[in-house]
Amino acid sequence: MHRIIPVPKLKPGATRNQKCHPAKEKDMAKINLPPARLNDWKEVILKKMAEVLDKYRSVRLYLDICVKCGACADKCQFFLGTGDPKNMPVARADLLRRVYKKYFTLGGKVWGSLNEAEELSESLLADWYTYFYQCSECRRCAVFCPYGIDTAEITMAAREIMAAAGIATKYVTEVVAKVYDTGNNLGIWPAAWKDNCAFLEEDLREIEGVDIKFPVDQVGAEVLLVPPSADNFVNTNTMIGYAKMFHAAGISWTTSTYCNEGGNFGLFLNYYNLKKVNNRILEAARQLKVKKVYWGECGHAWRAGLAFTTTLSGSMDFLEIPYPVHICDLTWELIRKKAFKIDKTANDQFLVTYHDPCNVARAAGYFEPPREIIKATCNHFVEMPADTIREKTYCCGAGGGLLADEIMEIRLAGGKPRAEACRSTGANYLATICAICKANLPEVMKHHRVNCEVGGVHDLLGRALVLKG
Amino acid sequence: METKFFFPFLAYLSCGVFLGGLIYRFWVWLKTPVPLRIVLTPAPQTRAGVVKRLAGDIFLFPQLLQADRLLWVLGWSFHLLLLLVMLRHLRYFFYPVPVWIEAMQTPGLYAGYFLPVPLAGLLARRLITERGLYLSIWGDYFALLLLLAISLTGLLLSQYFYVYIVDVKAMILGIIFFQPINFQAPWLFTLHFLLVSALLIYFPFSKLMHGGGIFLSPTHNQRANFKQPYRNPWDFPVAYNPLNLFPPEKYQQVLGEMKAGEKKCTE
Repeated sequence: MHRIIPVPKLKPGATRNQKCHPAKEKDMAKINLPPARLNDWKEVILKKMAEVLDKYRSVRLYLDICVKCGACADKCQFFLGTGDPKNMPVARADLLRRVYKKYFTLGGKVWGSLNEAEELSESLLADWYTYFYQCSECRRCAVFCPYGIDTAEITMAAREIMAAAGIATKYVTEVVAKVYDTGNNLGIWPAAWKDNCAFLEEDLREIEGVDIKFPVDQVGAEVLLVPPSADNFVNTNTMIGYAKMFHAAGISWTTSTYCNEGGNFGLFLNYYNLKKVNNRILEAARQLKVKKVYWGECGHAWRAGLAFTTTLSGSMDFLEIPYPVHICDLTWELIRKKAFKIDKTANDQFLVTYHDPCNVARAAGYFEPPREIIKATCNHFVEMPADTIREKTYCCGAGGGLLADEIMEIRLAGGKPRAEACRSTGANYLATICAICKANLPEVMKHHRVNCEVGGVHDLLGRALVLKG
Repeated sequence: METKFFFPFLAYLSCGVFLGGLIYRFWVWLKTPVPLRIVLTPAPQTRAGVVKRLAGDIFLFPQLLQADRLLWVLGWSFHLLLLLVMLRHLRYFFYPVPVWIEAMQTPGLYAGYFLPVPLAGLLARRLITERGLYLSIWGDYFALLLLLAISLTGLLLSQYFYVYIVDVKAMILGIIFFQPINFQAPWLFTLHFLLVSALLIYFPFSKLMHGGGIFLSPTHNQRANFKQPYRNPWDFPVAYNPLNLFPPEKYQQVLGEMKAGEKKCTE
């Protein structure tokens, strides 16, 4: 098997001290969690663990049937980048499995530490906090496991269990709290969102001479777009791409200041917040009386939106399209219908490659629409090596709530396989449809000295669209 | 040794624990719900696709082939050889012996010659490689050593030590039909039988349940039919948060609806 980076020697404890900052009390209170670590944390954790084991077949089964074959071990970019053995998916799951065996299985009680049953001590809890927040829940390991053991399910369970005892990270909890306050992950108040949209409108009018609208809170629009909020403030070329696309297609659309965030950080914390964040999308659709909802270029949003919406947020039957659809579906459909005038030469300075974001690839199996859009808007497209794309795609290094500055080392190490894969193609533009990837990959490319710009797929469309003004 | 009840007792005990344990483990797994769709690409759209995927999983180990070719060779050949050997053993349970079991005799015999090889390879992997040493626990070594001992004693029984298999078959048929008979047991046969019983008793309490568990693995048996709804049996409502709603008159209206208890988040 062609290895994009070599398998490292085991370096026990290499990243033991790379921890996320702990959560702030006011954020925990806003998201229905104990404000700080409880005094009886051990009892609370064991009680919550029993509850999780009874509620999630995946957790119980995957703790039971792992045969320690080690096939998953060298597939995790965090292990490949750091060499810390506890970043091997099997060893990461073992951190939870040890406690499971000790308190919940007959064998664990009989054989004890001989068969890796371990008491839940302070030092084991510290390891839980460290290593379950060094997993981006990208599920690459699950693709290579003979039974599909999903380490992300274990990580999610461990995070939910820790959260019940008041243990969580600052980054994840403050983002979820911001969603409840402002409607999005970046903490942008409605007035600021509207202002920025007006600013983009003005910009496009002055610089490109086209009158394109960025509607906000328009009741009765046909389409509600739920982008990642970063698209309006950081990856503005993507936002411009969306607006140009809707303008060229003549579709009335809007964003909502109640829900201008697809990226569901509740997914990284616990079921309660996963559900509460996801509910906002359909609620915004009902408030604005739209006919269709499209999810924007956001990876975690697409996993939660596509797979979980009808479970968490009720029926979508009040919409014309009663199931989740991605903006790339609409764009590609319109491209096929030749609704746009496209000038591919506008992107000729780019040799484009496409990075499958982990959730989009492995949870949604969503490969073709973004690639087709790229091929329709660019002349030069190249794919990265086969075992680094599609369902085997490498995480960007910062998914699952890992985009925090204090663990930058982990992020850069985790992004290394993707950087090397990109380098091997010679591409100078890496297109992707996930805001976290767009945030981490530029740092990763810079650190590993790969000369490649990172941007969205609708960015390329925005450049290539010929608008009549 | 001369015995009438030792082997029946051991057989009923080990089979009882094996079946009871299997049923218990499956019952615990089956009563635990799957709240969310956690499919893993490539996920099929139909039930037939799921059957095809699981069949591929148990007969070909495709993920292992992609993950670690050497491990695939060791693991797959071990399972195949074990299957052939077990099929050959079915001759002891039928009288008269069906044609397809008779056909298994020669392949099963040759499989038996080679069965210790992948087992030794898997054991070596856990003793020599850095990763194997880090990950392996008592249960891993025990399972491999037990299987190795069973295959070696079986090999010795069929090749070097004379055992009158007509007597063995009569004894086993006696167990099946609850009519135990007197049996002169060679020590090596007793050892082989004891080891197999130990394996059957150990099976439901160990990682060997992976064989049954794979059928329940949600990442492999769920369909990616996202256009259909999916229900979580223990779903619960969460409180509605009306902060920063727009426009101001809508905010007051929704607050009023919440206070009157009319508005729920899942409506």
